[in-house]
Amino acid sequence: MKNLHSRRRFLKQAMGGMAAMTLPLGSMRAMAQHMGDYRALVCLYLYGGNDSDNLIVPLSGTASEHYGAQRTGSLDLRSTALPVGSALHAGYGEQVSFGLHPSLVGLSSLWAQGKVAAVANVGTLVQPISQTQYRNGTGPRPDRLFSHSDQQAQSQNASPNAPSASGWGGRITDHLHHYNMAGGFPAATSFSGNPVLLAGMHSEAATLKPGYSLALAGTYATIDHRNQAMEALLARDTGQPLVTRANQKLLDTLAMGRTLEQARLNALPPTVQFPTTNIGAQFRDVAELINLNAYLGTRRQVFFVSLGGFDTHSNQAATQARLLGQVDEALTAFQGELMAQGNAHAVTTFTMSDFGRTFQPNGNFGTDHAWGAHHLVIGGAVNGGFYGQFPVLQTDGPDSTDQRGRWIPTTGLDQYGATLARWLGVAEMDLGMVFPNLNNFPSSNLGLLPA
Amino acid sequence: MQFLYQSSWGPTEASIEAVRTQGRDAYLNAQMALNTSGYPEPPDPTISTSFRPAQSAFFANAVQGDDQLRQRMAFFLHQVWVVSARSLPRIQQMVPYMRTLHEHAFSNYRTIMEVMTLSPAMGDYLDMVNNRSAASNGGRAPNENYARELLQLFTVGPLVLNIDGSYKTDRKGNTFPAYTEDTVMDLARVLTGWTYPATPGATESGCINPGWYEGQMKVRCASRHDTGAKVLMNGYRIPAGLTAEAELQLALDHIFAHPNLGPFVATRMIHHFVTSNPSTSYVKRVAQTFNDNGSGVRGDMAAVLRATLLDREASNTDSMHGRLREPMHYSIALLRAFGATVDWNLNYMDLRNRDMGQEPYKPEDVFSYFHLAHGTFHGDGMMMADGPEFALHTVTNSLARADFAWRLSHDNLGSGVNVDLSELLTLAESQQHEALLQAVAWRLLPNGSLAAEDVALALPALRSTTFAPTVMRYAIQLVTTPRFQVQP
Repeated sequence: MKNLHSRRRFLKQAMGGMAAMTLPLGSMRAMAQHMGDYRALVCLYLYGGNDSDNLIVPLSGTASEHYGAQRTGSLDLRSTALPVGSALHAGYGEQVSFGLHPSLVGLSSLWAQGKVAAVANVGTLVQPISQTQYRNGTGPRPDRLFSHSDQQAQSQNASPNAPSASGWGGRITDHLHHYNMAGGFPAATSFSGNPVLLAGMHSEAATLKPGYSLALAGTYATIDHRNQAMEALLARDTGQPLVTRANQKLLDTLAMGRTLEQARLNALPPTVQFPTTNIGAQFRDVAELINLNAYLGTRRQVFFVSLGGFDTHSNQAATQARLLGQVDEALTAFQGELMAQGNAHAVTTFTMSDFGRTFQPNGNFGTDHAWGAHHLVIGGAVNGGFYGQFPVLQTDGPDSTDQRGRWIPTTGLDQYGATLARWLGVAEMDLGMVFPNLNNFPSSNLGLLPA
Repeated sequence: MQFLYQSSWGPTEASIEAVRTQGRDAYLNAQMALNTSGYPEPPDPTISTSFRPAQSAFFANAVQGDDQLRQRMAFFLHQVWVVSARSLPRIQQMVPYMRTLHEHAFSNYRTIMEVMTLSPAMGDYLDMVNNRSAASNGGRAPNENYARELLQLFTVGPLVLNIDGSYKTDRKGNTFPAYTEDTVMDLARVLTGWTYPATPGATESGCINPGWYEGQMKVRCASRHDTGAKVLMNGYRIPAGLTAEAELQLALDHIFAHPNLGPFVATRMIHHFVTSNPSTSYVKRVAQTFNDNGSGVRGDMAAVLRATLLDREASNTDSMHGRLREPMHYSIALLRAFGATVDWNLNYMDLRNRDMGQEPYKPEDVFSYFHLAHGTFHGDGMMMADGPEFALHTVTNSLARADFAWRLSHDNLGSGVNVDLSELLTLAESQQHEALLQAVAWRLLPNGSLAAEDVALALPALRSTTFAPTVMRYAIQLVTTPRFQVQP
């Protein structure tokens, strides 16, 4: 890997020199500023609500006994989980060793290299809330808990008590816009739909799909009269806001396509083979844009990729194993490619999901909607290890909303997000604008990333 | 034309004439009486399970079928009562569900609630099938999936509504949840005990029937039903000791009676058929029709549809009226406008629409093809000129829509689909550029003509080549792409 790495860096520098001959002066200047100062966050969203009690599995002590009392048969992963280390479990007052889901082979190897952090029991919160407050209805809690659409939205817009059309990823790129070349490639880029996470108050995300092209079919390489007329027609305001909005999207697309086409003149193919799954292709295309950052005028980016199907109400074991297997292969390839690019320390990937799932399985070998969930943060800059507090694994225990083991989060989504945002470059004083409820929490830094 | 964009898959010369001669009211009556669109009989699964024949028939029906309103309503109901071929990929699973949607397009909503709840496809998709009581299952809790989505997505919605579709609030602006987590858990208990219908010719044994998707789910073993007492919304109690069948009726009646249903259904109907940004009074009028069709009947969907389409606001022409066409509405309306013939047995329109972000009957999840919350609220103090459909209008999908028009202009939409461009080609060959643009506009635009400013912007492209097919293609795409994305 090391040789590959330096070969890539050499090639990149050589190609950078060549690019200078083909790029306009402004881009050259932007490029010169960019070299060596690049950071990106990649949100990996597990749609449907991943069962995180089987993402990170307790392997010892009372926690393991309690786990085994509920998670039986195919839902008991203790014998196959991949041991990664131990942490003090505050709820039990004992050191507990943990393992990753057996599909996460590559991630457990990255863990051993200190590049993976697990954050326990993260969820949407207005402010910290105790079980008593929750059950009495005395503390403010997020609206419409346990609902997919609402919890997806709240996890992405960090606005658990009010609608918000912008997301915290988009607000991050709003605050960091000065890092990026004006009119350049969008700082926020999704390869999976139009997530509210990336909607800024002043900017829109590039919403792409894997293997995308950004040129109209039938575009001529030289002067194209059809395209000229098309852009003129799209740009003419007919006084109908819906039409204007639809047309502006295509106009932006065509401009973005020209930027990308120029940048790709400098492209090198990835050195790593990505899996052929959809999530593999999403990560492949994120890696390409990261690699081209100097030519796209982007220095601070937020990416969004996702995989659906985690809503495992029945026969969970096989489904979750398959999906996490896809995640693991894609993430492993992505980290390898970032190493080869020399960007491993510049990119931090983190998981999000609708919510966690009931610790108590239902009668169909599945689990139902819950709240707090454990998440993973991956990257060269990450201080690997365990963060946050794992819940006591009792269905009606001190951490559960009700009798089925739905965890009341002990780390706010805002704390998780602010930790990532600060690392990307959002100033301390601006974090509250990205996460409006951040001041309700004792800390805005989980400590898993360097200052 | 506006009325036919709302009430059909797109106007044709024949349907424009029908509305003109019959009037809107009689036209709707005649449409509701039709039930002509079928789906292929699923083959023996050992021969094929491919879903594409059903999708192919769907497109052929939409382009060529007479029962346009029934099809539109069935597709609407599909987007509310979602079952996705993403999870149920076999034609044998999906066709009975699709037929049920057609059959009940104009039924009472209470009937729709029941046939969808007992649909084996729905039972499979949202796990009501073989859901059983904790007592019969070693203490394992019943599956909450269907119970939650029945309340949240299909009937009541999470928050208490006013009749005009707005959220009911207290003086401080706080909203009221329509139900709690306890309601969901108890409703899940109500919905225990059901299994697949019997496979014809097979002898039933035990408590579980194997997967069979025709007919309705049934109870095999009473012991699998949770017979304890339950509490649903607003303190409504179901007493202990009742059967699964009896409790289902009580629970559906209880949900159906909730005051949210009128505004919930009305909002969705108006969004789907007419406009993303309706006035609250429009929602209120349609909701009142849901509550009472004029003869004291609640939930009469024929009346609700009529109220939606014949409301004075439906024919509004102000600048914020209308909705971004979903890819399916966009592509099918174009096919009808360009006189397409579509092979009922096999075509590839599913792929063309997938490219634009909407693969027919394969939505991403139970929230359908796009989330309704998208763009319908005033976020961050800004009014969004938007609508839920814009969730699908991504960078790459906006390009795919333009490319669809380009393929259409080449009559290259895949085998099984052909458009009739002969009249347009004749105009291109005789270099009647303005007439050509207006002929395209005549087929696509509500007032039948292209603005002079647009003609001026398009003409240089048409004049840049003398090759008639290219001239014609430019004309088609330069009208379609910038001016046909939004349903007026």
